[in-house]
Amino acid sequence: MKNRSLFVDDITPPGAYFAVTIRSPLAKGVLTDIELPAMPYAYTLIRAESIPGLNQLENFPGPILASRTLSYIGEPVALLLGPHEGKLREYAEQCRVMGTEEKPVFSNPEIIFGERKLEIAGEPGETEPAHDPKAKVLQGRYKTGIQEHWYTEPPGAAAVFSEGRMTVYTATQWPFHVKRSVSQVLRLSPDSVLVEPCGIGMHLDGKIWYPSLAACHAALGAFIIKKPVKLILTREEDFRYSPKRNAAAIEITSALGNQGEPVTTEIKVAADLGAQGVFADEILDRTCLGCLGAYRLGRIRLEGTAAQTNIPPQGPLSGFGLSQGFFALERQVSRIADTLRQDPAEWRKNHIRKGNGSLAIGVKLEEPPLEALIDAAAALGAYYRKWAAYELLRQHRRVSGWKVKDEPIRGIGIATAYQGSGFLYHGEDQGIYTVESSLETDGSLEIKSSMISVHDAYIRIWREMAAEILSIDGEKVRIHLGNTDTAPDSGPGSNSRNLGAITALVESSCRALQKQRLRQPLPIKVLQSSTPTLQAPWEGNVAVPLDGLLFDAQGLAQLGWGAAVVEVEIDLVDYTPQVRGIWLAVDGGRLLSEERARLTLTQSTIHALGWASREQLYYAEGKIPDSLLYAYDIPDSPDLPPIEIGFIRKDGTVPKGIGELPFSTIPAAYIQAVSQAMDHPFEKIPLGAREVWETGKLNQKDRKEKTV
Amino acid sequence: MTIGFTLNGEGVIIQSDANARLVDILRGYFHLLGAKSGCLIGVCGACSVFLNGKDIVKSCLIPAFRVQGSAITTIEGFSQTPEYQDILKGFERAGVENCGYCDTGKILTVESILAKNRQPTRHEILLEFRGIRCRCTEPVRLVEGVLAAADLRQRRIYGRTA
Repeated sequence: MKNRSLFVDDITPPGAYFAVTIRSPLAKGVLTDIELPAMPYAYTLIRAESIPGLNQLENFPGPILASRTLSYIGEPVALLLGPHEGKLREYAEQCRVMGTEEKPVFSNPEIIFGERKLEIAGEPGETEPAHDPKAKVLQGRYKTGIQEHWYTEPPGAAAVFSEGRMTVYTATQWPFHVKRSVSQVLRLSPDSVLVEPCGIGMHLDGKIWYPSLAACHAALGAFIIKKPVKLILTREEDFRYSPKRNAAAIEITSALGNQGEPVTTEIKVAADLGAQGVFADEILDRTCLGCLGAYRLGRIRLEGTAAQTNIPPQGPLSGFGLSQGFFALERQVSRIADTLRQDPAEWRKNHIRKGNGSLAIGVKLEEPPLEALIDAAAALGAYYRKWAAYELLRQHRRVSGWKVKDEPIRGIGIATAYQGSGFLYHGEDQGIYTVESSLETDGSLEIKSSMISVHDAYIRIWREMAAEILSIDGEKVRIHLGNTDTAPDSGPGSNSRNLGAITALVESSCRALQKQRLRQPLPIKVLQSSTPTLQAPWEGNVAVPLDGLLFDAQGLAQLGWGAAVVEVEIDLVDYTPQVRGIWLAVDGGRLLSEERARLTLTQSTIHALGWASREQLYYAEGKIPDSLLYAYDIPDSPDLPPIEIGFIRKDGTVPKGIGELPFSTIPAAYIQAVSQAMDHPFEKIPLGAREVWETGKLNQKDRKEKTV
Repeated sequence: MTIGFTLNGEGVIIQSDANARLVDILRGYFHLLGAKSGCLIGVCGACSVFLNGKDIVKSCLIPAFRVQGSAITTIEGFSQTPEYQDILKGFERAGVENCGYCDTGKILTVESILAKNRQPTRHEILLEFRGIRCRCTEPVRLVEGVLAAADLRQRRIYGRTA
């Protein structure tokens, strides 16, 4: 309970005006006019034409205020500013945005943000694909749903422009992106912009870029009216218009050889990135990578597209696209095992890629720990025994025509995944992490980074680590995070991936100080930077990009691995799957804090389960239905199952990202468990009780027909 | 309208729009920032306050006119009590980590639980937390924190655990 940071809404600069975003009512069209109500002189409307610099965030598409083209309902078209927040909202509601409507695109999109085409030869020794009309073909069409971040505090910013210098207070994972975007929009030198980060809460990667938009809006207002400006989205605005985890549709077609092994795998990925395609390349790359997985799939042909539709910009939520890909692949391999009447865990163990110890894309693996992880997760959840028992019962139900009594039925599933420790970003400053450490004359240590941490845990870890390396008292270690005037650019922060990278830099900078302190007088300053790179991401020439575009595998350095087992029970009265237990086995390399690692994995597990089972969100004609604002259902505490976590090794040399692993494993394991219980191959998440109930009714109908 | 009520033990009188939200009055008029304007639809619990004793209410749903003549205790007021210290120490003992945004809702929820029931069960605790919609706190630790707070309170009041 020590984390008492100020949140954006706690900061109201003296004399501040408030700003409200005026938004497009059209999903697609052309803006013609904005009609204003009669307002006192102090209330001002700012439109795109007033922007002194570029009408765009740094490196991202889409305007900060639409000037003519409207591309989604809720798109910002103007800012209304005034001294009284309540009155301001009343006036904002009376503003009428006029436009000419065009036919919006919500399905079958034609505009493509990004495209990937890839062909990968099978591993040496794998059966070569041959045209065999009798080959068994298994096709799955997998769909993953939209997920809302449900931030603690909705996005917002406060901006103060004074003496040619803009100070912006906002809650962001990427303070330097805010700084550069504000500088670009206002045509100020970057040195004239200071970003002071506020308390961020659990962001789930949703506050990487969107706070830059709120910050630019507030800063634009402050720049034009020469008064401090505060802008905070209401929860409703946030829910309706801020980016969510994007929906994806993935089709996987496997042709199986004589022994049931995949000889060819065709993968088609379609990601809906909404109107603006922010992070489209990154998300598409990672979704495709997830689909390739770490199993022998024979010859692989992959086509992926990230497309534009007229819904609000969609984007990252933990997993950054990788989890959508893993869901599809892990479901497909479980279904292959089902088809072959094999245990899905055994099938996985028998089909781990072994050629050069590499992933399908050619990423070299030092030691693929997948088999050990599968066994570890299976042991934690007594998977092998339960799977065999539940399989027997499933066969019995099938043979008996579902003549089951009223007792609940059960199923169990398993899935595996990896995650990288770097950040996949295609911008110019991709993946550069920097930490500055100074050993002062009084023997105290100052560590600076623009990294943002949700909790105090990393600060504690860094303090203890630095104190130990330099043999100083922990009280003498001061850590400054975030402020762009004092901290070096540490890139976009995320809980797990590059906090690990920053931790490594803190360690190496302290070790460098330790070496230098005996040779030169204090104070000593050390600046450590790194760009996580792979030695030879395409070594072995196994992957042939058909269009010449390579995947950016930078973010796949130092892979953390995980396997999850999920057991469910379904009462045939209400058909709501109840999770009986979740068991995770993880290889996180060197664990900086086992307690912290467990906490992170447990939290991610809860959110992953929500995504898989109950967090239903959709757009109808470009708009989230009103009812969902109240009904959106994140997992409640009383419903949570027992979660057990085991680490297969804790003594690696480097810490690895692990926080996303539950998002990439649990949904597939959960759906497999429900599928085994219901004897039906479910293909989508979230999977609600209604779909399970409908399947149950079908099973009963089958039974009746057979009885007749 | 003129509204008189007791705020953290002191009588106050304000001029306010009758329909103004209590959370806005607390934050804007009294600069008490512990209650947050999280969702303004009564689902997140970040704006919780005590109304007339230990009844926990969401101040975003309470219009100003309803406050007339009542007693409001915010987290700032509650933080001056030994009960608050029990909860804080209990959370620390259990390693409860929050981002800080809905601390108010969590702490006041714990107090409302313990005020009714000195020895709540795990399930009772979890049910009470249904009023808080939050992604950042790990529920098992939260329960441990409440149990630790209950234990500390027993020790403080009775000199022993129950």
